[in-house]
Amino acid sequence: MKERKTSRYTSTDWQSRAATCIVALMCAVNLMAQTDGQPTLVVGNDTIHPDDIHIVVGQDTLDPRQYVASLNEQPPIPMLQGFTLSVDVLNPILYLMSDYGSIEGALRVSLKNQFFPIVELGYGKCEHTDGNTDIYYSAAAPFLRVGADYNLLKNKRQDNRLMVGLRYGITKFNYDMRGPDIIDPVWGGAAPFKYTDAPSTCQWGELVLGVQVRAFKHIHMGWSVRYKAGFSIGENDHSKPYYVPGYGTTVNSSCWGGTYNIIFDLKL
Amino acid sequence: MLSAVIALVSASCSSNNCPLENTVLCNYYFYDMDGTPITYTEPITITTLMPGTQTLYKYRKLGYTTVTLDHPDSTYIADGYSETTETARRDTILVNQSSTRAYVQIPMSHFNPADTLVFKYTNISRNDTIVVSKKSYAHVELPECGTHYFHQLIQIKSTDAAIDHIDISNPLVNYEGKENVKIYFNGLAE
Repeated sequence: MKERKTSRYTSTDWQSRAATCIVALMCAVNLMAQTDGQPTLVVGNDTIHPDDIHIVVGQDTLDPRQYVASLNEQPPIPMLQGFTLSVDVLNPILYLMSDYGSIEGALRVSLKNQFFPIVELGYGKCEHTDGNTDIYYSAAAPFLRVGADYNLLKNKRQDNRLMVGLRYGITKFNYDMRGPDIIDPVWGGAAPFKYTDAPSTCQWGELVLGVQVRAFKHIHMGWSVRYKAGFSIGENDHSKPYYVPGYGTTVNSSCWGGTYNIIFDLKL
Repeated sequence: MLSAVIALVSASCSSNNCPLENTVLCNYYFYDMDGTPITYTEPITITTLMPGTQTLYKYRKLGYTTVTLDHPDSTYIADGYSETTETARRDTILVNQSSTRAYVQIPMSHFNPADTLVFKYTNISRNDTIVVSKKSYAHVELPECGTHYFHQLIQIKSTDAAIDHIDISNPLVNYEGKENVKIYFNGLAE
């Protein structure tokens, strides 16, 4: 009866059982430090070398190390892992606290949980009047960024991510600038300073460092810090844009930015 | 973490880098007729002609120097001077009796298509007149830096009392302080 029952097991079944027993055995006893490059087992006062372990099931003799190794192997991660849709909450808050800000979202594809090509689309707005000079600047326009992130974490299967990435950004917009009349102190006379719909096209690059953690089942949250450098800031004889949608202010040739994202996983 | 990121983002892009020297001046550098930089030791007075005319009041008295004023003064009449009036082009002094100079910095008009400068020398009886044609435009680098007028020099010409010839070396006049015009005076540096 017992033999008949055993004979119904397929080869894979009993090999799995045997391997499970070995793993359980290895968990139950102390795994000693390696000697001569070979792991050893300690059971009570006896040290057992793996070469001395032989498991005989029916007519077959099994090597335990073969099954421990095969249990550690995991199937490869498929290339296309899914999409994420994210919304930034930092820059809208920034707009409420200062003269400029933006709303933006991003669509990202996960390749092996390692590479993340991304498209970011947003709308930036600025209304600024300098308190000392009384010069007013306003601009509002959409912007586009494309790039990719790379997950630095070794374990690509976990839900959290540490990312570095690059972006290329571009926007085309018109801005208004006006100020008090300009007076010629020597020759006399005055003229207004007012320019509306001054066109500008700007391109820039970003170096991104970000962290994402899983908050709920299909929702991640995370922040990114971005170092931005302008490739070309379109200006004219009269002025250059003070604020570029998606980039920030042009006070320096480079600046810092950031996002705080709520990320929705769109699993395939 | 969110507040830290907000602080970083809002603070990092707000430093002020307005130019330290933000007065727009046209820089005229002095050379001898062969192009060697020189220092002009004699005092020079530079005036510029202004739009419009003015009434000048001249007070003359036999044996006394004629006095010219831009306003009437009844005390001269009380002292026996005779008063005459004449109409002349308005002018103003830009550089007054400046000596030992390798260059002079002259403001430019905002709204005139050309500026006229008169160089008055102490060691030469004649004056030189320089006429510089330009295109002027308002410029704002950043709102906190204020408005300035930049100028694009188009053409320059001069008389030849003490000046051999004159050239534009850098047509853009802004607050960077670069040489804009080369004035080549007669003679050679020793």
